[in-house]
Amino acid sequence: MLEVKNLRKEYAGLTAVQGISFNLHPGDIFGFIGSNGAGKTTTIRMIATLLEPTAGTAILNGADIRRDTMEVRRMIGYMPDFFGLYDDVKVWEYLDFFAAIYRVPTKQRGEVIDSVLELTNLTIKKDAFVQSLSRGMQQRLCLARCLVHDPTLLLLDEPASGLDPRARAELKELIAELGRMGKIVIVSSHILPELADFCNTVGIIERGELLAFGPVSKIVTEMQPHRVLAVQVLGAAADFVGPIADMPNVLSAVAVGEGDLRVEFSGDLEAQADFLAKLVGKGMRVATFREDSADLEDVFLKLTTGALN
Amino acid sequence: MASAIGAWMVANRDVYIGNATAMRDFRVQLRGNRSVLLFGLYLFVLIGVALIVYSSTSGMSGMSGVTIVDAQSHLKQFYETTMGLLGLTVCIVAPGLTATSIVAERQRQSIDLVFSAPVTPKYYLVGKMISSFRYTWMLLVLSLPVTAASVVLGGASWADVLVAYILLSLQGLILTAFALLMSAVSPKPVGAIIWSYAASLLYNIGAYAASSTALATLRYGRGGGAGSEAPCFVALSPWTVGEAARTYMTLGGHQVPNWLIMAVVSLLIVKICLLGAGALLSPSGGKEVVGLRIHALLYTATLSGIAGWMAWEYLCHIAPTSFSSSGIGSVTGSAICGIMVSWVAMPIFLFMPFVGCFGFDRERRYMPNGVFSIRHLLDGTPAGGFPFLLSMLLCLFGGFAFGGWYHMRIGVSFDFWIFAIYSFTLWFFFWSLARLVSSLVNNLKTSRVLVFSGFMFLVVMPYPFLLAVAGIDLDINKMSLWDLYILEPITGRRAEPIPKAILFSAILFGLAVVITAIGESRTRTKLKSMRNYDERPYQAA
Repeated sequence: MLEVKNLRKEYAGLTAVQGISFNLHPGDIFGFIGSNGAGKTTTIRMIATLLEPTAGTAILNGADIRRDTMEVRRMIGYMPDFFGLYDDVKVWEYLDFFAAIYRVPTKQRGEVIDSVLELTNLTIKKDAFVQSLSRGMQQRLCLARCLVHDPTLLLLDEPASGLDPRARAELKELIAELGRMGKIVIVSSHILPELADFCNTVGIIERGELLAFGPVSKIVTEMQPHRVLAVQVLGAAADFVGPIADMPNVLSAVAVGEGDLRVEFSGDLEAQADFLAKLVGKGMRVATFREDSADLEDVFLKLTTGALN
Repeated sequence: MASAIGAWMVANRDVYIGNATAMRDFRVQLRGNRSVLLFGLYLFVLIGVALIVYSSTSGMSGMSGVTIVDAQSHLKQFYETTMGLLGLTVCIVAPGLTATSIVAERQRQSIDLVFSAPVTPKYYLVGKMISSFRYTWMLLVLSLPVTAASVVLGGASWADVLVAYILLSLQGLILTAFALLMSAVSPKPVGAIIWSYAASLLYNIGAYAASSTALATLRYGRGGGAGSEAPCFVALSPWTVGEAARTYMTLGGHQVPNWLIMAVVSLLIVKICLLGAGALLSPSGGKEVVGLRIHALLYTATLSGIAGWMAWEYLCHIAPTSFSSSGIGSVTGSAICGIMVSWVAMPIFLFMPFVGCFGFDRERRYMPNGVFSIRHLLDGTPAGGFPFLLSMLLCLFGGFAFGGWYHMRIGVSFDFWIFAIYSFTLWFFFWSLARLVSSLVNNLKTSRVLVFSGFMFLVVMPYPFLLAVAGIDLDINKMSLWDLYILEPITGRRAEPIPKAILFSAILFGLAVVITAIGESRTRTKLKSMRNYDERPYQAA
């Protein structure tokens, strides 16, 4: 379990992270969302013990990032937003080096390297030089490096930046698989759709402040507690606004186009079906009727102002 | 206890044997034909130069009328030239190979990946050291056939060659450690290369000056040579290993080979360089900073003790009257020693900016945690800066006085301690300036640069100016611009430096107290005004 307690980082004249707190459990895939410069990387680097927090701490399975630095490092796999690859090194040598510094016993290293290469689909590139790999492969190699010591917590900083759609999809699947393996995964990104797909928990950060934290559905519900229905009718939408607004469970109705209506609705699915039946019953010629559910992007835009540190 | 020793041994085995960093670098270094070609070229050049040297020296022995003694002398000259060539190789290769090792990783950002793993700075630095040094050592080993020729022809014995190689290896180790430290300090590879070669050059100049002086004494003084007694620093220079190989020093009635003393000295130099680099690399300061400070104090006390031992003996033999109240002229031997040690303390200016300054740097905070705290003597925090400075001066002056007393059973007089007080007030003054500057600016780097510049402005720059304007005037009664110079009491210009030393001590002390008070007042105001300032324990500097 990871407990982040009031983690704070100050530089000269700048508070990069303003005392954020959250808890994560095994299997959680936490999407850390924020604009560039919001404080994501600083938070991740503090948890990775690469930056000393100004105040607060994080505790991973009982080990404090400030006191038990080496113990924490043994349990984390950190993948920064840069590759940091060595030239003139083969893929297996690169992994062997990291396995060695993580004190993976010599006899087990070969087996471990083979298994992480298989997991990241790089087995055929085992003897290739790292500089000859494509960007997507290098990204996967970095992920493989993080896995050689079987970490409890994975810190992935912008893992999908610069990847093509296929490589991105593969990476998403890989991260989801790691979550299923019971690891805690923290993924930072400012590309929201990629996070919404596989993260079960998200946190939105702006100017070092954690504005929202929790499961995606919960955050969306909190931001938009009522259903929004998009109704397209044949005829002038403005003529139907009045009658619809008087119907049960309808909180508001607005004409948004020639024949389009946006209805804020407080009822459940059954009430929603009744509502449609009533519309038809009142002689309205309904062409389309759908729930316009909010997504992470809506929530993010609603919560944040775009201000930077 | 046994388990602790076992754990320590396992940890050290991991560091020195099978170090992953060294292994990875080694793979890269020896990959492909590049290294084979380089080694081939190196051998080709070495053999070519050796052949030229040999033909020029042996050509003379082929002439009629040349005695066996002359021929042997020429062969010895050939051997020494070969060793000189190897010394040159070490001086060029060791810094060049090492200078970029850390800074390149920092630029590539792979250093972050390494330190996100459970890797200590020691593990990483030793790995880097092994990988660089191993390459230098391979070059030395490759040259064995050339030096073996000297043994076969009669210019040297196998023992000479073996000891010379040990000395070259140790010097290579020192230069590698210097370059590693420079690589940790420098933000860019070009800077690291320049600073590494500059450090190597300085070391070579100093070591050559010391060892050639000692060797000259051997040649023309007591008529020694190989197998002769000589000061241990004769073995410091890579250029004189051929001659220094069989010298020894008498310690406690035992003849100790100088290469053995050199081995201990080299390892200590390497240790302190690695601790310095470790303190710079360590994200949390702590252990490496403590180690660095303990070693700095121990080395200072030991070297000062040895200097006291040697200087006191010299003064007792050469100028015994200096211990009387009259002394040499009107300057006593103790005063001379006091002035000498005050000058020896001058390198403190190099680390004064690190000891005295505080503020923000890019990632770490070096916030003020008090003015004086013995508890923080070793942890590198600002409150421990002044106690550490005090301890350094105590080790320096105390070590010197103790060394002299232990050897000759004659203690230094009060004159010596007057210069100790002067030295203390001088550094107290610069420390107070560092605190004041830090209280005025936020950025740590700016504070350090300003303090360093302040030292240059007050101490270094006035000297040539005063020499040009006022010249050297030994007339005690004549006032001159020199009287305003901060180092006036120890310039040796005045025949009676004691009253000057007392006066300057009083002035510097007063100034330092006032400046410290102003600085602390400003610091308190600054801390209060800082948003969300927290009172947690402070980060190591």
